[in-house]
Amino acid sequence: MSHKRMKVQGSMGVQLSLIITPMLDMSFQILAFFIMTYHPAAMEGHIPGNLTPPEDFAKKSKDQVAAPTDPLSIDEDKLDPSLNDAVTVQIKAVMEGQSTKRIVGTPGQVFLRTNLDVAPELLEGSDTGDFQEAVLPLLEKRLKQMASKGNKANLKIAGDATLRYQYLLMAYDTAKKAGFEKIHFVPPQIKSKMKLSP
Amino acid sequence: MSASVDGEGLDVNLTPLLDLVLQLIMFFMITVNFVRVDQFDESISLPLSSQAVPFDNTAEDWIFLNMDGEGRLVGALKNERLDTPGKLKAHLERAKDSLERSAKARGKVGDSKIVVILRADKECLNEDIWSCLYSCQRAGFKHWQLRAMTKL
Repeated sequence: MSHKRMKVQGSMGVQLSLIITPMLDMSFQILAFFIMTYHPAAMEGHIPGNLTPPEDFAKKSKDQVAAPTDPLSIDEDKLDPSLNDAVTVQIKAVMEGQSTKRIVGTPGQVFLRTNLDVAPELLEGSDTGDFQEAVLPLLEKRLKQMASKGNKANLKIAGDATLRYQYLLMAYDTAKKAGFEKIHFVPPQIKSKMKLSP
Repeated sequence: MSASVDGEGLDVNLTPLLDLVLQLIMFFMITVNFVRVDQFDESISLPLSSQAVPFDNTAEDWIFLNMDGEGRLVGALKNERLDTPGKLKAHLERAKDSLERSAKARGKVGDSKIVVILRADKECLNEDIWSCLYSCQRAGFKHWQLRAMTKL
């Protein structure tokens, strides 16, 4: 710690100098603190969603059914009449024991369905091509075609229960890029209930 | 760095150094991001989503759930043994009540917007995500967010 000094410089008289050493000491300490605790902001974003309360299922259903005991097991077509016109992207996961070179949990086949289709349509090449490199561009192209025909309002993504989460988000990204604004995730049929704790 | 001779010795001019240090402090103060350990688990590898949007601050409060690649809750909830939907629902209900009480204590009138933020590993299964959301729904939550990396 330095002391306050008075400088006498010839005929200039007394000159008071500002003592900056303690301030510099403190500044370095603060700087050291910030450097040590520095954590650059993570490049995280979010995908927002809403959960329908169980009691609202019956209200929204066109058949006015009673509130289900297990809301996730309800047929998605019965949930909200406004979703009946939605385009559905169904992603089937590769199951264990399936004779394929693909890894279990990765997408096996992609189907598309509109309210006019009787049966879901298999996206050509989705059962053989690489999902990221080949299938997603095809899906985007197909969805853009559908969007240009006026089916732009809603899109549902129905992934298999065993599908890896990252592939759902890839499909979500593709649908957004194709111009769909309201995207809904369809809950899968859950067999094994939970393994939430280690 | 300049120095002046005042007859007694060399006096180092510290002003530019101080300027620089203060600028650095200002930079760190502006960009500081204090991470709460109960919100983030570094072991989780989030999926990439270029369409994920930046955070919004419209919610009154948040509840963070971190899920690893095996579909298990980690982070602050690791030792809570929430191994059934009922236990998770009960835990979330308690957390929700507590947040609502504190919101009312702050003078908030009406329903509080509490958002469940699910930070799930990219390797976990679709059913793991929905098992967790199912409990959130049962606990009375209406809003959720899936977290994803916007850039690698």
